[in-house]
Amino acid sequence: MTDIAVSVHDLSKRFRLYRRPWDRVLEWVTLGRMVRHGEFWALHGVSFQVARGECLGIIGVNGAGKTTLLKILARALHPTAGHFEVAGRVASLLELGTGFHPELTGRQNLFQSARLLGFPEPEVRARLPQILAFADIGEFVDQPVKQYSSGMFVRLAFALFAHLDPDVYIVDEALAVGDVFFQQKCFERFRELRRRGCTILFVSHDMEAVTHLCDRAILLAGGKCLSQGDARSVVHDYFALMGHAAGLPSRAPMDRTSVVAPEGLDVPAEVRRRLADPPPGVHAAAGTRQSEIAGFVVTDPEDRPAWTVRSGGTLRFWYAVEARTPVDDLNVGIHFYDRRGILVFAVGTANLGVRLPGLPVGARLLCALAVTLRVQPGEYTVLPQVGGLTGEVPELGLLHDRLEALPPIVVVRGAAQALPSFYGLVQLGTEVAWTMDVDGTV
Amino acid sequence: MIVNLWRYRGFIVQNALADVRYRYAGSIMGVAWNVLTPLAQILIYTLVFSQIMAARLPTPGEGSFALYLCAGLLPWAAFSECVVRGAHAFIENAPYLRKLPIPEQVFVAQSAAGATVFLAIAMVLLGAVTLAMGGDVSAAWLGVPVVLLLFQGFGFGLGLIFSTLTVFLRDLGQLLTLGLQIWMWMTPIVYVEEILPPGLRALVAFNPAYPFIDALHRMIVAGQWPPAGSWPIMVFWAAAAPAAGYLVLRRLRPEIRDVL
Repeated sequence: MTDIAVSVHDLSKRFRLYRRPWDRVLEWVTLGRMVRHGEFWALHGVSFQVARGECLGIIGVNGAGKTTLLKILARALHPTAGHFEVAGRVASLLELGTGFHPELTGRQNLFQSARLLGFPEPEVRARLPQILAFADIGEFVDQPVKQYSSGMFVRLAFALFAHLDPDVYIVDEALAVGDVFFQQKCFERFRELRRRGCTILFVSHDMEAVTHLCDRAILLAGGKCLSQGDARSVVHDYFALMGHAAGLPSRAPMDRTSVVAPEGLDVPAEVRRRLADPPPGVHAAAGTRQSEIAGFVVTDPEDRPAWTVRSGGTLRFWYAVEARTPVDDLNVGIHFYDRRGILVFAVGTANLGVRLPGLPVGARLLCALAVTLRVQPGEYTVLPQVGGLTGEVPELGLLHDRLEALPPIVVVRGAAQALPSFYGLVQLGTEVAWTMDVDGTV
Repeated sequence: MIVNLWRYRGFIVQNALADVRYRYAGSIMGVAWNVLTPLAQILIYTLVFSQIMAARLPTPGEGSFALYLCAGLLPWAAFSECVVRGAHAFIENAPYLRKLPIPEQVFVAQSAAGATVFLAIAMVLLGAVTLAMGGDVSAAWLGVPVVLLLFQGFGFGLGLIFSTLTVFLRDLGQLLTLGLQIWMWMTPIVYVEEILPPGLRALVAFNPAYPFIDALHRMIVAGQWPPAGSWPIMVFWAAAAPAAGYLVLRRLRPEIRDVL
C-alpha cells in the first residue's frame, strides 16, 4: 500500500477535429498520408499527485480541461500521451443518475447503476437501508423512476453514489443538487467520507466549496496546470486569472478635459493609473450613457488590488465617471447579489446623503465607495452603476451606465476562531448587555 | 475482450432482459406481446401457405412451406437485428460511454443477447406450433440451438465491426439496413434453393449465411443433420467475425469516445 492514491504524469489529450466525416475516410484510405484534421489539445502535460485521504480541488474556467481530466481518470476517455495510476476502486460521478433506466424502479436502478460502476450487488444490498434513509424518498423507491420528480431522482442517485465506499471519488459539480437541506446533507456526507480516509477529486466552480472541502487544488487553464498547492492560494490565483481576463481592453478611453475628485479623496498614483484603463466587464445595454463608468478598480483598504476579502473586512470600489452630457444629479452606486441571485445589499451616494458635484461634458470624476462586507463567506456578484437622481421612475432614478459580468467578489471566512462571528446572510448590528443574579434578587 | 464480457455478464443479461420486458412497456398485454408477436407471425405463415396457397416444397414429403419459411426467416430476423442494433449500439449508449469506464463491446453483446432471447422464444413457439399441427419434431431439432448460437455469434461479430465503424461514419447504419435486405434475398430463405438458375446456385455456397440457413432447413424441415462439412464453416464465421470486430475495435478504441 502506498500513500499516493492518484498520480498523474505528463497527461495529454488531443482531440482530432474533422470538418466533415468524409475527411476521416480519406485519411483511412490513404493510410494517414493525407492529413485532413485539425488538432485540439484539451490537456497538455498535466502532472500532479494526490495522497491517500486527501481532497483535491480542480478549478478553472469553462473549457480549461477539467472535465476531460476527470473523464480520463474515470477511464471514460483514453489519454493521448502520459499515464496515470489510481490506487483502488474508483467511483466517478460525472453526472448524477447516469445509467438509470426510466422504466426500472428506484430499487432496481440502484443495483443496475452500481453494477455499471463496477460495484457488486451484495455490497449494495448490505448498504440498502442507509442508502434509502439518505435518499429519503419513502414508498417511491418501488416505483419506476420515470415517475420521480427531478428532486427525488438526484436524491436517489446521490444517495447511492455517496454510499459506494470506493477508494477514490471523482466528483464533477455534483453537490449543486437538490434543495438547500439536501445540499447540506451532501456536504456533511463528504466530510464524513474524508474523515474515513476516502480520497476525493472535486471539480467545482463554487470557490467557497473548494476552499472549505479541499486540502489542495490545481488550477487548469487552456489544458495546462497553471498552479497547484494549498486550496486557498490556488483559488486566489484563479480570481487573479479571471480578473486579468476580464481586464482586457475593450474600448478606447475618451478624451478628458478636466478631472473632478470629491472633496478629500486622495487617489494613490497606482490606482489613478489603473483607473485610466478601460473597466473590466461589459457595459449594460440598458444605460442611457449620459455618463459612463470609464474606469473601475477594487482594492483593499491599503489600496492594493483585491477581489477577495475576509468576512467583516472592507473593500474600496473606485470609479472613474465621465460625463457625455452635462450631469448635475449624479448618483454613484453598487449592488451585491449572492449566488442565488438575491440582492444582499445596494447603496448609492444618494442613499448616503452625499451630493456629488455637477459634471460638464467630458469631465471625469473619481469616486471611491468603501464597503464593509459583514456577510457570510461566499461569492458575490457586484454591479457598479452610475445614474441620475431624476428619471421616469422617481424612486429608481435614471440608469446611465452599469458594469456587468465582472468577476465575483469572494468573501472568505474571517480570522481563524472557533465560532464564526455570526450565522446567516448578513451580520446585523447586535449589542449585548447582561446582569447576573447572585443572591436571588435582581 | 472475453474477460471483460464475463465481468459485465450481469449487466448484459439484466439489460437484455429489461429490453425484453420493456419493449412493450405501457401496453396492456405487456410482456405477453413478446410471445404473441412471433406466434401470430408463425400462425399467419402457416395459415397462408398451408391452407390458402397450399404451397408444398418441390421435393414432396418434406413438410410445409410455412415451416420452411419460419425455419429460415425467424433466425435471419434475429441475425439481422444483431447486426443492425449492434451497429448502433455505441451511438445509442453514448451517454454511458461518455461517462463510465464500461468496455465498449458490452453494449454490442447486450443487443445480441436481446435478439437471442427473442429468437429463443420464437423457436420454442415454432416447435410447439409444429407439434400442434401434427408435424414432426425429430431428434435433429437438438442441433438447432447450437446452429442458432453460432449464427448469433456471427451476427455479434458483424455488429462489433460495424458498431465501431458507424461511430465515425454514421451513414454506415443506413447502408447496413439496405445491405442486409439484399443479403437476405441472396440467401434461400423465402424461396427454395432449387428454383435458382444453375449459375446463381453455384454461387450460393459462397454466401457466409448459407451454411447456417441450410443447416436449419435440414434440421427443422427435413429432420436431417446438417452435412459434416458445414460445421467447420459455421464455427469459422462464428469465431472469425468477433475476432475481426475486436481487431477493429482495438485499433479505433482510443478515439471512439472522443467523437460520441
